[in-house]
Amino acid sequence: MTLTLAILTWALPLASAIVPWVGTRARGTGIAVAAGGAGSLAAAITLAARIVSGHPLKLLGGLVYVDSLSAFFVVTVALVVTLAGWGSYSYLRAEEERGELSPLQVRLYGTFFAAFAALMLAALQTGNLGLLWVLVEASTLASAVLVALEARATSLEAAWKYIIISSFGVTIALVGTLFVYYSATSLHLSPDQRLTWPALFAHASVLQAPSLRLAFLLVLIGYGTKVGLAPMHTWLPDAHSEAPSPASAMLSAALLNTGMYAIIRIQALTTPELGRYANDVLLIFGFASVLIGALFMIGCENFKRLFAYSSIEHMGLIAVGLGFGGVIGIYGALLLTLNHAIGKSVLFLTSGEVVLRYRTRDASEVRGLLQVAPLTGLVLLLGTLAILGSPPFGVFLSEFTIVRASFAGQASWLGFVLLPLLVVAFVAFARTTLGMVFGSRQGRAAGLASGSPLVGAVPLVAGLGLLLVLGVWIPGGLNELILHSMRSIT
Amino acid sequence: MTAIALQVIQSLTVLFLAPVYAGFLARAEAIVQSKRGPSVLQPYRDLAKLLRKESAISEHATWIFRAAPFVAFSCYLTVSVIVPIITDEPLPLAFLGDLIGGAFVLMLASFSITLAALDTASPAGGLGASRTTWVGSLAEPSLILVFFTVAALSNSDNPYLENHAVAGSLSAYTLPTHLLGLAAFFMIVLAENGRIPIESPGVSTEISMIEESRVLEYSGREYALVKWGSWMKLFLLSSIFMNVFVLPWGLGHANSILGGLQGIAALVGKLAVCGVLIVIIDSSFAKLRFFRIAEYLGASFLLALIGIITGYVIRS
Amino acid sequence: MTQATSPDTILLNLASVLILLCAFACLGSKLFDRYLGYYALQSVLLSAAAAIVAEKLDSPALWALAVLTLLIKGLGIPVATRRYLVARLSLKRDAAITLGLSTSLIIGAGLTALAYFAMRPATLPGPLLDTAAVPLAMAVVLLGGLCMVVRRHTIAQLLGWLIVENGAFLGAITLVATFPFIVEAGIFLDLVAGVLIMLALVSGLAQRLASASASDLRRLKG
Repeated sequence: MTLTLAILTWALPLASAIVPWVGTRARGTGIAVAAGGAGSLAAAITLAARIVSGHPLKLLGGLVYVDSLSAFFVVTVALVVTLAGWGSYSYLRAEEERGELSPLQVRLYGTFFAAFAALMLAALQTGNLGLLWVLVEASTLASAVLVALEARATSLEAAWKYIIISSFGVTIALVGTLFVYYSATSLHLSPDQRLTWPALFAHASVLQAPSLRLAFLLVLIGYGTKVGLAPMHTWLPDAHSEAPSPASAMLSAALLNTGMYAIIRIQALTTPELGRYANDVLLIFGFASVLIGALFMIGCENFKRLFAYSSIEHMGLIAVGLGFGGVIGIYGALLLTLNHAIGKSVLFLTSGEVVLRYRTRDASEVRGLLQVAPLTGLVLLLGTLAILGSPPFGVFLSEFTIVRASFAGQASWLGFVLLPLLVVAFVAFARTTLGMVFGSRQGRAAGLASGSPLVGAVPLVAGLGLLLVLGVWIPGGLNELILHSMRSIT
Repeated sequence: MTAIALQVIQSLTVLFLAPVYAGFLARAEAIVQSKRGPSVLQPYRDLAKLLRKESAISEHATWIFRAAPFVAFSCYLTVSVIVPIITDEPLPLAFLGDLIGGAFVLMLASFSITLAALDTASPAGGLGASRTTWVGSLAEPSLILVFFTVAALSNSDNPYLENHAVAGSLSAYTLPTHLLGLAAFFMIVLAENGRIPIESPGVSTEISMIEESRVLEYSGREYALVKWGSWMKLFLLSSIFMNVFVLPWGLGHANSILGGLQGIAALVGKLAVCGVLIVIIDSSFAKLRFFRIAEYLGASFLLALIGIITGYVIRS
Repeated sequence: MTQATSPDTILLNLASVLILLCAFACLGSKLFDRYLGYYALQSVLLSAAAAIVAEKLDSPALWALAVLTLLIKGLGIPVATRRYLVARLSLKRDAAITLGLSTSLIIGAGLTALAYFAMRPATLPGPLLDTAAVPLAMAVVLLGGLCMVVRRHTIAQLLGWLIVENGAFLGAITLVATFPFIVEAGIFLDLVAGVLIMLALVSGLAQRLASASASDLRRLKG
């Protein structure tokens, strides 16, 4: 039963890949993708509930392995897929009406969106580190097609940059994985088990320290490229700004988390042998990312790029949270993962609406959104506040937890370094988006209504609502899931 | 006593076989190019002719110009006593220097010729001097690294020990360190002797000359010494290449004259192989443009460096 | 000095060194044809290395991988790249190299040394096969990365990535020859899919940029 659920989480999105090829157009494709996401989410939540109350699922010698941490990430990613799938419906309808997308492009979108989602969800549910690598690399390839979909010179260039940098990074992660395997040579494990996370984790205290250290560094650099940790982040703003908005949401809210998941897994292996070594490395990369993210937000006029830099900043914060470690740090990091995923999905989908209306990604050409499209404007305003960590939204709570973790640890001065950076990010980000929301309508306010605005608004409102709820109340089940996740990696 | 005799025989071998080796190269090259070519004994005739002639020396030349050929010539003779040419054990005078010492002596020879080239203040001489120095300065780091590959194998910079290390075990011979060092050294041998792809041997076009233009001012007896010296250099480097790197077997025993003679026979065979190799390269590659020489020698440097790195990787 | 004695080890060491030299040759070659040729040679050597390990461990899965490597990396990818990109776009000389040749070779040598210091066998427990291949594989990875950094042309970058991949593969077969087959096969599948998508992207980019320049010409006519 648990296995069926686990399979359903990725099989349902994958099944929706067939729909575009059986004669339907944008409408059918959009509905299929959204439905696949929703089904996956339902399966994921049920799965998580079963895992938390029961045992981890381990089958086929660890090729399938779902514990609470996997379940937590599966729920997060499935949620993003649901939101982005719904957003895809509006995106495809609108672009098809305008004749921007050919039927082939619609089909490619449907197929690769589905494959991308399925690959990420499957990657989160394998205990075999080699298979994890294979699936992550495959998800890179699938998402590169999405980035290139609109076939402008700029989007092709962004896709190229994305695929070449990420593939390089992920290959480095493969070398790291080899060294993980290698660090277990002296154990009496069968070759298959030496790549299996639960088996490695059970013997973590007898792994070879030198090759483990090397392995962690390589894996961090490798998967860190996918996460967008500075200085390996260079592909990220380009790809996020050039991809179709729902795909940007998937990249930012799901793909980055998948990379982070891989890093968390390897970090868990290093703790018994290397102590706080991995934490320190994570802190360095995390702070660099927060710094880079915050600084590049200043004066960034392309609002999709702006959101992308904000993703770098948040991934940095998550890394910092993991680096602080301890109950509070990891709790904050995981909470931020979920909240950022929801918030960034909402923002990127909103950006999609804005792009559809104004046909530009330049923030200075967008004015008076509240008058042109009150609902979109309102969502952008609230989404901005939410992602920047104003109370009462969930991001505030998680960032607050991470900063608290720094004061709880030995290095409390790090918290004081973090706070000004967050302020810089706040001001830079809000200056741009508030300019878009307020002001008087002018210029190219083309006011083109896309498809049916109400359908498009559903995921936005739903996402914002979730963020608000998470800001004031963490449901008992979620709390339980996060606590169990922490227990499964410490 | 035997040892001293062998020592003398070895130097005489270098002295008198070097011209025929050069003649062999020229002949073989001509045959490859479908020409008849000069007799292999032609270098001896050239020497005899030049030694008989009187030499014309520029009135601006100083004693440096006159002394340089003698210095160079004796340098080559010195090297001939310290490296393994015909015997497998060091001869009495081999204590004088190791591989690095040999390289220094060879460099002194080249240095004196360069000084002489500058001494007459002729434009061609200056050109040749600067070009040779440039090539030499690029070849040197690579040469040093080749010595390190030798050291990585035999834990010494003594050519005899290297010879033993490689001849003694097939696995040492097949080590990447050794093979890469071999390739790098061969590239240096070509560069140091002015062969293709650095310079076309025997072609006197001012624009492309490197080594040759240094000695344009010489004539008569001095020129004979300079030519003879450069043949000896080619002979010495080829012998080291074959005896230490490629075919470390077949050297004569150092305890009998007969061993020495057998060593000479083996050497002739080995040099024939080396000569054919050089001829093949001479006739199948084009001369490099001058500034590409840096890349050529860089490649040689790289080979030796990788050889050393792999040496340590495999050793530990 | 302890010496490797078994013929397997000797051959494997030689193959690894030659693979490294091929990476250097790729780094140093300006002509696309030659670059591709060296990559193909490297892949053939890699397949030979895989065959040596397969023979030693008597593993049919590795034999299959060796054959796959030969067919796909040694033949398929170079031929496809040459026919569909290099020949069709009539590319000859890579003009988009940002560093001088000698400089990049020197940096490459430095990276090789770095790879050795990072992966000194002394810091690692004894590998399955007693070889020097691990640091050399790492060096190949770094050199491939250098190719990608130094060169701006998309095809050159693609080949750079493939060299990185070759390095990782060399590491995989020597370090952990007994990877589960499903993983190895997955890695291969990813590689093939990646190359296909990248080739499509490159040719799309070439078309886009060509048509962009053509539209410029039209505008100037009026």
